Amino acid sequence: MSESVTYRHMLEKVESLLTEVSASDVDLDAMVGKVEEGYRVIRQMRERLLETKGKIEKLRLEFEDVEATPEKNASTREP
Amino acid sequence: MIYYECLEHAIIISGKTYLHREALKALGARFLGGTKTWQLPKDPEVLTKIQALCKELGGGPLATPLFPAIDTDLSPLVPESAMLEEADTSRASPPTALTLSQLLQQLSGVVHAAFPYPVWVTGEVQNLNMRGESLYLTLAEQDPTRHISQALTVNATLWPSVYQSLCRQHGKEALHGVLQDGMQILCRCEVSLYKGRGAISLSILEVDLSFTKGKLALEREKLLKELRSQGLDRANKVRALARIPLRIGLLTAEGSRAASDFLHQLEEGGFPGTVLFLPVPMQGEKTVVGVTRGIDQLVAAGCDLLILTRGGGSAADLRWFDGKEIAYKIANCPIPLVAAIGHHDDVCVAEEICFLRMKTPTAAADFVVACFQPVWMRIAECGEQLLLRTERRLQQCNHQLVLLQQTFRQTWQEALRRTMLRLQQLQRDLLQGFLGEVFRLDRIFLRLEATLSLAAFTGLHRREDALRSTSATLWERFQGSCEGHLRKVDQLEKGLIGCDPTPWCAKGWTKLTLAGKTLRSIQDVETGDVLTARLLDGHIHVQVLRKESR
Repeated sequence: MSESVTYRHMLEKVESLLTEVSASDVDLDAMVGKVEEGYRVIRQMRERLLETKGKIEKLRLEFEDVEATPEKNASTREP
Repeated sequence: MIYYECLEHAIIISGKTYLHREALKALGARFLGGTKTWQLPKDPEVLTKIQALCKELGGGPLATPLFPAIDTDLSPLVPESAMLEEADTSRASPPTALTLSQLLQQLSGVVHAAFPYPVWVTGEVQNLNMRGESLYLTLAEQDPTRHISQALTVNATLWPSVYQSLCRQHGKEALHGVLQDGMQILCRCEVSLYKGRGAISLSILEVDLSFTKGKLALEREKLLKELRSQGLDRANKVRALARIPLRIGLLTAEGSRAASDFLHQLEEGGFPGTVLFLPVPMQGEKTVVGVTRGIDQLVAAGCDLLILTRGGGSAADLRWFDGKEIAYKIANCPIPLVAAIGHHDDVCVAEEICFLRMKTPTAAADFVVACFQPVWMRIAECGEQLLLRTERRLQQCNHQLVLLQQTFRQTWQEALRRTMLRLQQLQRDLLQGFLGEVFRLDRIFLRLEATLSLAAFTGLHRREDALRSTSATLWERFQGSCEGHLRKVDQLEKGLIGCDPTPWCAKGWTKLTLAGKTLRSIQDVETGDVLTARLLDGHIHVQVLRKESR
């Protein structure tokens, strides 16, 4: 799956794979393939989540840092 | 060969003289065209020279005289032979006739013999005609008792050599002044017979100009005497000249120097009036009619003064102004007429009896301009008076103006001082009011600033709190969302794990299919069917040997 694929697409993909492998007449070989693809997408989703969380965390820390030093920020905002 | 014949007063040379004409001229000979002979004064010395010439060239005394009886008397006008024949008419033989040429030849000789020397002739010039440098004219003598067409006339010629000689002697203009149609002249002529027409012809050798002038002067004096006897010689002189002659009538030839000189001089003199220029002939037969009618027209046009002028000329040129018609017209002219016709020595009758005689057209113009001199002087005098009074009045006005200026300056300065004081007071009042207003506004601004600052701080703190709260909420929600997603992923992973057959296959479980269809009951297969089973590491195909129900 490419980088441009959004998290929502990955989620829909995994849910689709789950629906497919839950069918009764699915071929065992196809099921194994879909399960393997599902694991791979889930791993990417988890990595994407962790990456996003790290970015947000970094932003939050920056915001808190700005809040903690208002005088410095005020001086920098003055024209 | 040349021949000579001695007459009473002259020696006549004949024969082939053409080749020796210069020698004959040197002796003083004069060619006689009528007889084609040369005439010399009868002088022993000349005769000797002629005889020597004949001896040298051949010839001698003429055996048969050309003019046998002329020398003594004029009686034998026909040849002797003719006379003899006339005497024999009684014998009834046919008369011997002369041909015309013979007759004319003999007449020519008679005329020449009768007039061997030039004679003085007087007559009136008629039909004057110049061809080249030859003048052809007719000399006429009027008989008062006869009609004009019955006048006696003789043709006369002025040959080029004589014409040039007379021009040198008298001047061309003077000569032409006399040689004009209608002029009585006295001239010395050589008389001859023109055989072509059988008429007497005169070759003019000299013209007495003083004769013609004297005759003109006589006629002029006669006319003046006539005018004086009627008191008309001073009639025009006593006409009242307009005080300001603004309307001038000019009579002169069109395009003449006299006209241009007169008009130019008037312009130079600053003439302020009007000139009615009536062009008329100033010489020739039409002069009389032109001038008399011109005077009438200009009088009718309301002119104040008439000017009759031309640029001088010979006595003959001016004789038209010695005539009765013009003289009586001027004498009876109701307005003054100034004449400038002749120059210094030529005073014609018209000039004698006119209001004023001026020598030249320019002088006539000066007279007209001079008429305005008193007017100009009066105008100048009035101008000076006006200037003097104006200056005096100007000085009074100037004095009044100075006084007014001083008063105005004092008034103005006082008003200015009061205005300045008022302005200073207004300035103080304005400054005081301005400062009070500034203080009041400053207080309002300070109060507003405080209120605004308070509101700003309050709002800012509120927004900071809201922002902080929003940030916390955002973080919390993000964490929640993130955890939700993780839980979802975990859930999906569990679902996948539940669907994953690999652990089951590792434990030996498999799935049987028949022709791709999953088998769920023994009822789905028959003995002998080949089934497909997938193991962990591959597929096996098994055949149904028997079915056993549970």
